[in-house]
Amino acid sequence: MPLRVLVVDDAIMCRILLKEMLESLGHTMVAEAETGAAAIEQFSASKPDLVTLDISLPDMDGMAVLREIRLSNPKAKVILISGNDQDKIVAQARAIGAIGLLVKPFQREQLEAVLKKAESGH
Amino acid sequence: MLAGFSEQERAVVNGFIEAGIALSSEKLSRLSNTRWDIVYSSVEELPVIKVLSMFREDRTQYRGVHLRSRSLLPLEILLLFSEAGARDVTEAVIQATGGALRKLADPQTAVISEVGNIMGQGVLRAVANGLKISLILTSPRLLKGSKSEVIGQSLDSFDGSKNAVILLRIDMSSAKLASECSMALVMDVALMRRLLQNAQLV
Repeated sequence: MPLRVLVVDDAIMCRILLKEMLESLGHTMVAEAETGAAAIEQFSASKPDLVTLDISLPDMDGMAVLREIRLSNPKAKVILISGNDQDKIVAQARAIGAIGLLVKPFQREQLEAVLKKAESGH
Repeated sequence: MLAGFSEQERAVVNGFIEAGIALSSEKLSRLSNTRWDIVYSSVEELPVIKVLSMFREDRTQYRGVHLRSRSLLPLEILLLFSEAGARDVTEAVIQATGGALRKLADPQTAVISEVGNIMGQGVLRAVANGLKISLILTSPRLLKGSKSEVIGQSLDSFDGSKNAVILLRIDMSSAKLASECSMALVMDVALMRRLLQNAQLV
């Protein structure tokens, strides 16, 4: 089933490449955000099936954004896409409810595998 | 007199950095689809003023990517690309990602910022995991100028009179691209020593 995805990343390079990969996999980027505040706003406005979330953002860190999103919708599906895969960050993200982590740089096949996991509800 | 590391502390920090640099160069190789070789100079404890004076004579223009951590361990990471290196790396990344980035108004700024961010995260991972803490970097800030100008801008939050910063210099080169990239990592020696003790590594 095609997913409607909110892409949150401060880097335009990543947003462009993610949009292209998502479309090639049959999904849609319904909205994009380059700050934490915009991400929270877009999450309410666009009601995506899935959020891809970077950890380093200009106004707040991705973990705080993840907490806000999960607070407003405890069933929200969020995948972290970041260069930051430190042990403590990964453990904290899972504890808050992130369903996956994709480490930059990644290949289309790795994104596909994470999205399949999200579609299946795990 | 510098309040430097003991031999044991230095060995632990060098271990973090070597692991981090290996990961960063592997990430850069994947991003640019070409192999990068590393020349790594080990940890040096230097005053900020000395760091700046080391590069004063060099007027070559560079593109710098500055990343900062302001959590448990205040840390500055600076990546320097020569102008030609920045052009080559940008082109390599555009080609490796299928050309979609050509539509950007300023592809070089976008690509170099993100390449710097991804590489910086490699070193940060090794330091954070080694110290058993988490560190989150700010968004990358792009700088331009000579080496001393770029380094000066990235060290603006350090007190120049303090004589306890760590400087690591790592040079990476790609024979295929005839490019070079240097990385400097700056942090407070006294704070690093405390974190090494907290993690029971020394």
